[in-house]
Amino acid sequence: MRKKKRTHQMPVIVKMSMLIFAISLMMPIFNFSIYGKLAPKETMNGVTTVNLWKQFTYTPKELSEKFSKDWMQDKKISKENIAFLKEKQIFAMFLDETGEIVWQERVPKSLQKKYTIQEVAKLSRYYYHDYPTFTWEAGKELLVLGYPKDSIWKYQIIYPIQELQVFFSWLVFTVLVDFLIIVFLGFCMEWIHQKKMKKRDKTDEARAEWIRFISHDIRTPLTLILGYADSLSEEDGISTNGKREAQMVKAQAMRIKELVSDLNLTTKLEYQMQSFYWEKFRIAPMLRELLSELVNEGLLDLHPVDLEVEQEVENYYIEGDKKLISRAIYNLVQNSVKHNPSGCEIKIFCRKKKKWLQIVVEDDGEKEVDIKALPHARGLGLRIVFQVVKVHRGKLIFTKANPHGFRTELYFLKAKEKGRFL
Amino acid sequence: MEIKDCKILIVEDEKEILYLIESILRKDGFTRIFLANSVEQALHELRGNQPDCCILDVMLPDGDGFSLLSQIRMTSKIPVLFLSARGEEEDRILGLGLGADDYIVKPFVPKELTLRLRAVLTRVYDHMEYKEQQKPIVFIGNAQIDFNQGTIKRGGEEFSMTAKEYALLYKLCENKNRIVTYDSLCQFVWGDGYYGYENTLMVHIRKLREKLEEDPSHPVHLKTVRGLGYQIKQ
Repeated sequence: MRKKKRTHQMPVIVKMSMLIFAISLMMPIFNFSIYGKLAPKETMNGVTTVNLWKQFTYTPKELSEKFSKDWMQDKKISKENIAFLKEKQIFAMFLDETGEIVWQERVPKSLQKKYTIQEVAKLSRYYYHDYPTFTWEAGKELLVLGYPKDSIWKYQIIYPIQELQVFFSWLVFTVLVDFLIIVFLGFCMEWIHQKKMKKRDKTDEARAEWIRFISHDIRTPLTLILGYADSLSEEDGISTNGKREAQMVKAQAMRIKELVSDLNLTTKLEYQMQSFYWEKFRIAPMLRELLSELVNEGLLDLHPVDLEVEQEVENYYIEGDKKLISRAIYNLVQNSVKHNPSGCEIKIFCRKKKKWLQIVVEDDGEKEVDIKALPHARGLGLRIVFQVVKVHRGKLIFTKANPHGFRTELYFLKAKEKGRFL
Repeated sequence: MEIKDCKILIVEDEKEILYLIESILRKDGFTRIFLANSVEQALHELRGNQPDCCILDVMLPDGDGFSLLSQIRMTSKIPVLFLSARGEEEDRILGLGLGADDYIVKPFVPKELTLRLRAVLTRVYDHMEYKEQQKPIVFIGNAQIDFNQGTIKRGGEEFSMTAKEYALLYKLCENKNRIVTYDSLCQFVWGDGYYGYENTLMVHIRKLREKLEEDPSHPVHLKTVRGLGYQIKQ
């Protein structure tokens, strides 16, 4: 047997840290997998190209090399290469030492001139007349490749190294600060959360205390009522009628006692102030014990009870609070008794239903039952049944019985047999 | 000592309940009753009047019943009954664990109080009476059961009981007119690992019926309660 208290929530800060960690792992993985799609090399015609440049098939450098090779062989460019230029809308020219164009293909009119040294410098920089240009050594000549306007982003990254270091330091610093901010936020949230929990606990405690005091205050006058009604019902000088009335008072006092007890229990369950005695126990003996006691106490004189336990289920165990489950069944039986004061039959079945252990409590009462209004319509007793089933993670179904009456089905999870655990 | 001559101390903070209990006890035949309203008064009465038994409320204005019990137990073994408005399991077990003899929850039926009080007093003070209550000879219908000798006499014949039959019949007679579950019986006879003995139980009951009943196949006294257990009916 062990007690089981209310489970605590994982602190927000832990959840937050785990989330940040997960994101910080996933993001680069995600990012790199995308870059990876763009970056890896592919072989094509024996020349390796990067995927990034698949639009132009070759990188400017690769293309330059191809052309230079061609030129340096026999000062001519192959038909394929020329066709390639046409296809990709790239222009090319070779300049000699004086800046004169000695060969050109598809060079725009505005660029057909003699190039001064300054202009050659411009060609090797970023753009020339809006065309992204690339220069490459080809023997004694200079190859110039010009790509279509707005097709390539061509800029240098110039960064003084010292400043770069400073930049990286700042980068690290800001990342750290971000992290600290998140951690701080986490703590704040946790603090607020704790305060809320404490407040809730306090309210729960207050409510439970209130109920406890009320029930104590009720029990005192109730004791007096019960005590004296009982004494009157036995006193010599009282008439038979008087004695009968005293008995009635006594019975009602007992009823109030049950109500107070139920109220106490339902509050404790509702606000999780109940500590449970969790154990593995066999369901069949528990049912027999409970029902025998009820019969022995005379509570079922007008309500004969018939218990049927499936043979297979005889040795089944449930893990839970035996007293609570017993109480739930008791409440259901009591419910049938209360709603059928002139008498009825109560049937209880205990069977296996897949992975569940099913307990059915059914009466054949005449009164119409409004299933939809349950469990509130029928009071605290059924509410407690609902709460007990909930605590045990079971299922509860209320229906009409055939042909008439009230039927309750409880489902509990079957526990592994004693001693077979780990 | 006669039970009704025992000195009873009632400790209860609500005066009306104090008087109610006094009146219940007096109606039941007790004459020497002492009342206390608080821990202080209770201790005073304990020293002065040396009661034989104590009925103790758990909640008192200047302390609680449990600590009072501890104090009592330091010097005395008198039986103590707890009276409580709480009724929670923990209180119940605590009360019984500290050396209390019984525990009643308010509101209670007066008869329950007196029955339990008498039971406790008999157990502690009246060994003769207690042994007497064991009543070695029981009559069920036409059968006479002698628990001392382990025999059943009926219609001029005498049968002896096996150990198991004796145990079963004893348990059933102890709970005369009440249902005793299959499980209770099996556990009483075979101990804790009792699962699986239901069939054997049936056999023993059958044997008992042959000894007890005029018509074993249609038992009148040792009845089966379907689904629950057995019952001796008188």
